[in-house]
This record gives sequence, C-alpha cells and structure tokens, in this order.
Amino acid sequence: MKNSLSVLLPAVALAATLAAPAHANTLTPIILTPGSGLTQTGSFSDLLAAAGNFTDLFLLNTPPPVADAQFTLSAGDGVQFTSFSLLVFGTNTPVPLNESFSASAITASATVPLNSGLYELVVNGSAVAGASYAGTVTTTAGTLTPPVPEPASWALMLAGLVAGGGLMRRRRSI
Amino acid sequence: MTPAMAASPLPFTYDAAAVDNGAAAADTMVDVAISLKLVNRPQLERFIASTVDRSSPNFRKFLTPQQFAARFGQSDASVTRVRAFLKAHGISVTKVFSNNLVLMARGSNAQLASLFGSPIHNFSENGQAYQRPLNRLVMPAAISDVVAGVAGLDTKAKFRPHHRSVPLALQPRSLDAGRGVVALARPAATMPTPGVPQQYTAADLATLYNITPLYNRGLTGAGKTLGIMTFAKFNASDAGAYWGAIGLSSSTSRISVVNTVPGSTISNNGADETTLDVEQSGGIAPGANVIVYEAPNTDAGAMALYTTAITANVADTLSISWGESEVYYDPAVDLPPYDALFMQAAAQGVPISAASGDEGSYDINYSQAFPYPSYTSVLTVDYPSSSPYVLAAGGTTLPVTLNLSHGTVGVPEVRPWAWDYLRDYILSYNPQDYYYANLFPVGGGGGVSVQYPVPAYQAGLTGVMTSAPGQSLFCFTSPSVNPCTPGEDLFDAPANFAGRNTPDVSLNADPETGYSLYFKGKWSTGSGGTSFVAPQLNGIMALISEQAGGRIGWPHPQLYAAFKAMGYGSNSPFTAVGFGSNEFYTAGPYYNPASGIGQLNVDNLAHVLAP
Repeated sequence: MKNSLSVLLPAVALAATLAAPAHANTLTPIILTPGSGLTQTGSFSDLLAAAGNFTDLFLLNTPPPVADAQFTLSAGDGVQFTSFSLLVFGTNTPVPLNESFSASAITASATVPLNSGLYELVVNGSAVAGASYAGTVTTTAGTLTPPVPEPASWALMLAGLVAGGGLMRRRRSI
Repeated sequence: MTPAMAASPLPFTYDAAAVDNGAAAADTMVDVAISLKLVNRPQLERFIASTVDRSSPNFRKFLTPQQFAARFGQSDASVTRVRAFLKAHGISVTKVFSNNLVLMARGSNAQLASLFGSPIHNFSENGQAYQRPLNRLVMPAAISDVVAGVAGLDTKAKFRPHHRSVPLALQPRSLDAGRGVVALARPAATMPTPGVPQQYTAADLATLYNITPLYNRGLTGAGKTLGIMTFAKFNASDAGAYWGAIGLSSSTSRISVVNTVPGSTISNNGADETTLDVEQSGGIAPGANVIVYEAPNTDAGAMALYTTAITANVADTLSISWGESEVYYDPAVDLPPYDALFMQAAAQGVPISAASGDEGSYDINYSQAFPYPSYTSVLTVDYPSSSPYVLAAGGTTLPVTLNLSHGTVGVPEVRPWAWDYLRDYILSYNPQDYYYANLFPVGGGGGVSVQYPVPAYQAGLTGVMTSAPGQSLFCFTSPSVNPCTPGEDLFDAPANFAGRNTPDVSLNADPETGYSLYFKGKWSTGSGGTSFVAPQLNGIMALISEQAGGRIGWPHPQLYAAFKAMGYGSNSPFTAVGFGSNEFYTAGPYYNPASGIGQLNVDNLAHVLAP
C-alpha cells in the first residue's frame, strides 16, 4: 500500500553518496556508509536553484541504535542558515541537540541515543539563487537503553545473574 | 515539520516486481478455504484461560473438536446455508471440517471472481507464476453474517522457512566448544561430533537445556504424538538415519504424513526445513509418534494445514517453522480465522510453537523482500509467532570462539542470536555489500506486534515494550530483488502500540553455534535458525506431556506465571540471557524482546508444568 508521502528523487542523486534534495520540502534519504569501528558516515547537500527562504528535509535511518550522532553543515557563499533540528520521523518529536550555530556553519550532536528508526533532519535558511550548502552525519552504533527494572525485579535480576554465571561455568567445563 | 503521516492501514502490500499478465483463465478450477466466524469469542477466551488455571474446576479439562464446534463453531444450520449458497453459484464444497469453522470449496475463476467481486489475474514475479484478485474481496451479503474470509484466490507462495546456514565468508578453520577445544578443519560431510558448535544434534539438547533428568525418568514422549506443520515434503529415511546416528532407533514407522489438501502437489522447496523439523522434534522425543502435516505454500494451504492438524486432534503438541511478516496480514479479515484455529488448539490442550523469525528485530527486511539499506529498517515481527496463542520460539548464540580465516571472534556467554558480533570482522575483510546481503539483519526474531494487544500474561511485566516510533519503510535505492521508487514511503508502522511481545523463550539458533543436519542422505553442519527451536519446543512439550499424563494446554499463562513467581532463582524453568541484542532489543535478566523470558531448564519446567 503506497503512502501518499511519496517523494520522487533523481536517480543520479541517489547513485552518489551525496544526497541532494530535488526541491524544498521533500524528504531526501541520507545513505550511510560504514566507517571505522562502529561508525557510519553520510553526507547531504542542496543546490538552491531559487532565491529566498528554504526548508530542506533529509531522512536518516539508523539501524542499529546509535549511541552518538554528529552533524556538520557548512554554507557556501550566498547561504545563511536560520535553524537546524532533528525529529523522530512521523512524530514531530525533536531530538535534543548540543548545537554550535552560526549562519554559515553548524555543528550539532544528539544528546540522547537514537533508537533504531527513521529521523528527519530539518535545515532552514535563506539563499541567493545558485548557492549551495553541504553537511555530513557520523553515527556510532550503540545499544538500546534497557528498560529500568522495577524495584521488585531486582531480586529476579540478581537471581538471574547468579543462574547465568552457573550456566557459563557449566558450558566452559564441557 | 514532518508532513502529516499518510494513513497506512494494515495490511501492508507491495508487489512492484509483479508483472500482470492479464486475466486468469476463466475455467481454471481453484480450491479455496472459506472461514466461518467464531461464535462467543469472549466466552472462549475465558474458557481457555480457565483450562490452564490450577484453581479452576476446568483445569486441563480440554474440549474435543466436536465439543468445540458445538460451543464456538457455527451451527449446522449456518453451515448448511453457506453450502447451499455456494452450490447455487456453482461452487462445490469438498469438505466441511468438524470444527464448523472452515469449509474447503472448489470453483472456477469465473465463478469465484463473480461471487467475491474481483477480477482474478495471472502474475509473474521473480520466476514465480501465480494468480490473485486485483481488488479486496467483497463478501456476498447473504453469507457475510457467518463467513469471515476466503483464502485461495491468491496462489502466491508466501511463507518462508526460518532456517539459516553459516555464510561462506564465515566458515571456520576450526571450532571451539567452550573450553573443550576441538581442533577441526571445516567439517566434512561426516557424522556430527557431540558437543561441538555447528554440529549439535538433538542429543546435545539434553545437556544444554537439562533434559537428561527426564530421560533418566524414562520419559521419551511414548504414547504422545507431535505434529509438524509444513509447506514442503521430505524423506522419512533422512530422519531415520539422523536418529540412528545419535543413538536412537532409526525406525521411521512412527512417522506418518498427511497431505492436508488431498490431491495437491507438495513442493520440494523447503524440504530441508521439514526434514530438520522431524529430526529435531522426534530426536528430542524419541518415543513420540510424529505426524507431518503438509500443504501447498499458499493462503488456502495454510488454512487447510492448520485446520486439519488442529481439528484432527491427534497431535498433542504442534509446531511450525514457517512464517512471514505480521504486517502483511489484514487484522480484520486475515487474522480472525487463524485466531479461531489457534484458540481451538488451546481449548483442546494443544500447545503450538512457531519460529519467531531469522531477521532479528527487522522481520520485514528479509533479504528477498525489503533488504537494508535499499529499504529502511523497520522493527517488525513474524506471524504466526506473534499470535498470543502461539509460543514464539526465539534464538540465542551459545558461548563460542570462532577461529576464522583472519582471526578469532568470540562470544563469551550466551546472548540473543544476532550477527552484530561479526560486523567488525566481516567489514574488515569484505565489502559492505556482503555484510548487508548476508549478515544484516540476521538474528532471532523478536519485537512488538502491531496487530495483537499485549496479552494479560505479559501485561505489566518488566521489559515488555511498546512499538517504537519512527518505523517507516522507505525506498532509498531500488534493489533488483524488489524494485521500488527511491524516496517513496511504502509503509508506516504504528508507534507506541502496546502489543504482544515476542519471543516467549529462546534456545540455541545461531548457525555459528548451530546444528548438523542430515538431508538427502548427506550430513551438513552449521545450520541454524529459529526453525530449529520451534520443533525442539515441540519435542520438549511432548516429553512434559507424557510426564503430566495428559496435554499441557495453552503454555503462555503457565510459563509467565512461573516466571513471575520464580524469576531466575533456584528451580526456575528459566535461565537469563544476560547481554547482547537481536539487532535492536537488548537482553537482560528480565523479559526482553530479544530473548523473551530466556532459555529453558527443561527438568525444572517439567516440574512446574507436571508436578
């Protein structure tokens, strides 16, 4: 069942690792490439054909859960950023960011781990016709924050750890 | 800023790779399964719960199919009315199951298309030819009060076996069983060595999960019958040879086979799945009779398969190792007929175990369907294991040191099965594409159903989760296996749904610490998947059923009650899986959607279920 939220993108843009939105208010995937260790990197950009204010939306998919996510954006001549945000896709729930912001450069990092799922990068600004900007995202895989057991469950946890240790010892003596 | 989410009602359907070859031949005869509506479902739910409540006078007083039909099936008059209606439209009823809930019928495409209001076309897709209706079926008003659904007009093979093998890049130079190192080159096709990862057999389960005391008490499953439900044929001689090799009787006289769609052709595709199901279940319960229920791999086949196996009421315990993503099912049309059958099994005292899937927490990102990263990852679970009346069989990795071509990879203690522990190794020596094609997502299925509300036995349990937000299936780059339009949003899974969590329990399923298989007269090693766990649970239930002197019944409330009372303490039937994830959900010494309650101590479980 196709969703009416469909976004058509130029194939050439997707063939490259540099993701470029076809126009404002579309959702452009950011393709992540495994880096060293548990990191993945991706890039995004926009060549702004028309002068005026712009809002660009990029999609970031993070399986596995991300312990750390860093973003950098650099404006070319004629571009001024006005805001940058990260939302849980489909919910408008913002992800808190530590942000160093200027009209020409932004660095930001998520202050909480990102669970597996889709996130939306929202870039607002203004530009002269033909100006461009570029950004990168670097994620480091982590684990989902486990649910905090209720107090009554601590006894079960401790018993479980004891039982688990016993099991390990048996296995190793095979 | 996010655009309004488009409505994405279940079921999710997508078949861009399908080529419409035009109208199917009007005179082609088609077998369909017509499901009737369950009667008095709330009363049935209460009855089932009472049969596994030791304080109830109904405790383990199960129903016969006839009793079930009388209380919860449609009346004979309603069945007769449906038969007459179908006959009047030229459709013959070939069988009415004794539960008065399912009829098998046969008609031409023209007749069925006319009756249910949709043209039927031929399609081809990735080498498979099938037919299906173009539109959602419309139930004729004259029978819509009693008919729940019709399966069979769509003949596409849908169910996949949850069976995996070690990929080539990860085949070891030697194997290490805990600290008992076994220096062994990549095993040749020889007899399995006991206690060695990738060569485990049903006999090793006795030690791994403390089944030995049951055997010492003389329990073998004698007098009990276990049923395997499957969509592929097999050779009984393979199972006999396997059993003989692990010290059991090699006689195959205890195996019988039932084609649940008489006259139909059962595929060889997945024969290894059926083979391992029989080998594992019958190997754990060497005294039990084994009935293999077979059906074509279609919707109608599935209905016939479940209905036959359950309504025959011969098997004391059942399992299935096939499934597909839950989100493909229409909750209003597709699931109620299956619910009725699984509830019937529970009312008759028959536990059903099902593999929870082999794609970790991302069931829909199966490599032949919506592979990552061409498609975005979506947290999803597998059906039928997500049914609250089916025991979801999850998977673990056992402690192991893998001596691979470029070094070692170790798993220090038992963990949920997921190949994230191989990520760094693989990416060091293989391209990224290889990793995604072969190792992600791979692991024991588990997560949160977006179809079934959290059942009472899981409600309030620490670690039970709701569905995560941000779960949408986008096309990022179009893969050849299942083309899509880049940027297209295909499906948005409901967020924050308090659904049934899977799995329920887990046993070893990682091919890296997996099993030997005897198939087509040859041994192979390094097999795994939760498809091993489901038949293992089947065999375990047969043993415990023998100890109980009768059927166990719906297992879930009994297992969860034991967990709530005993945790992981002494004499508990469960041991915790303490760390790791199934690619998303993290294990710990509490319920979790990576490993469920945890592993089994079968002797302790037997004492709880059959004191």
